[in-house]
This record gives sequence, structure tokens and C-alpha cells, in this order.
Amino acid sequence: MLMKNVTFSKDYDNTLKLRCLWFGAMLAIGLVGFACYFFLVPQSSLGDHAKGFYLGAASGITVAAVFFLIRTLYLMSHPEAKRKARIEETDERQQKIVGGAAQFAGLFTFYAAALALFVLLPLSLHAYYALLGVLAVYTLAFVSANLWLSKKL
Amino acid sequence: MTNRIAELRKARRISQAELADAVEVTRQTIISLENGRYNASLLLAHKIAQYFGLTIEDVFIFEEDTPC
Repeated sequence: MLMKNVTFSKDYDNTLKLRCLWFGAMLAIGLVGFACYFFLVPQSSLGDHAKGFYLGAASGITVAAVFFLIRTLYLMSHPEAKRKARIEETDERQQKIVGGAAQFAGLFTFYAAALALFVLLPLSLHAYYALLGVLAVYTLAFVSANLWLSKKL
Repeated sequence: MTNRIAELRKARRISQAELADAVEVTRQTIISLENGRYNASLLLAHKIAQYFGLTIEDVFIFEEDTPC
């Protein structure tokens, strides 16, 4: 959803081209992760969990990037598939559903995190501050987006 | 807001998929519009009315007591 929003342009061909660049960048991140895992991690004193994280994250990012890159390239070379994908992505009811679901998820997460703050405080001060920071960032992002959209629309 | 999409479509023997394809939305959107579960945007309402060769007021009926 985020990638769709970031790369959305009025011209769907441009959207797909932009999306290819983003997935290319994502693939580069995955490959850097692999390079780190094979060349840097063995010489480091990282624990098994950290080593596993490098391999898992690099694999996940690379596989996802390759999949979406192939899909985007396929859409660019098949006009009928591209038309169907464009209709599905720009369908106003679908956009409303996604927007509503994101709004609900955001609100639910915020309330759950606020509730978790009460539980975390006596257990771990570090976790409490980390979660408090996340809530502060969420609030700041919400206010910024609200101001930006108020000026834009 | 109610609409005459199903009535107009059936009178012209057009399938939901054909209408959806013509106005560039998914078939599910047409189904929701016909069932009254979803209200079309001004742009989509214009496209649908234009497709049937009618005005927006001929296809979509605004009822004051209906929430938007």
C-alpha cells in the first residue's frame, strides 16, 4: 500500500516506471544485506540471533523485490494486464476500503499502544520509552500529514 | 442516494462486467452501487451517466433524508 501511494502518478506508465526504480532500490538493499551476511558478519562477534536477522531480512527483501520487479515488468509489457491492474488500483471503492482499513488499524494500534504503556512502565523503562517514542512519532506524523493535506486540498 | 443503474443496465442488456469495464472500475463497485451500499463519486457518477447518454440527475436520485 505504501509503495502504491509513494509511486502513484496520474499517468500509470510513469507509475510503473517509478515503481521499477523503487523495487530496484529495494533489491539493492537486499543484496547489500547478503553481502554483509557473507563478508562482514562472519568476522564479527554478533550472536546467532543477529546473524539470523541478516540472512532472514536480506532473503525476505530480495525475494519481495524480485517478485514485484518481475510483476511490474510484466505489466509494462502486457497492455491488457496493465489496464486491469490500473483499474483495480484506481477503483474508488477499493481506495475507500483501504483508506478506512488503514484508519481503523492506525486508531486501534494507537489505543493498544497507549494501553501497553501502563503495563510496560513497571516491567521495563527502556521498552516504555521506546513505545512512548513510537506514539510521539505517530502523533507528529498525523499532525504533519493533517496540516499538509489541509493546505493541499 | 438511490440510483437507476441496474434498471438502465438491464434495459440495455449490458452486464455488470461490461459497465465496469466501460467506466473503469471493478465489477464489485458496480454491484455495490446497484445494491445501494456505496455512493459514487462525482467523477464516477458523471462517467456512468455519460455511458448511458443521460444526465447525472437521471441516473442518481438524491433523497434529502438519506445520509451521504
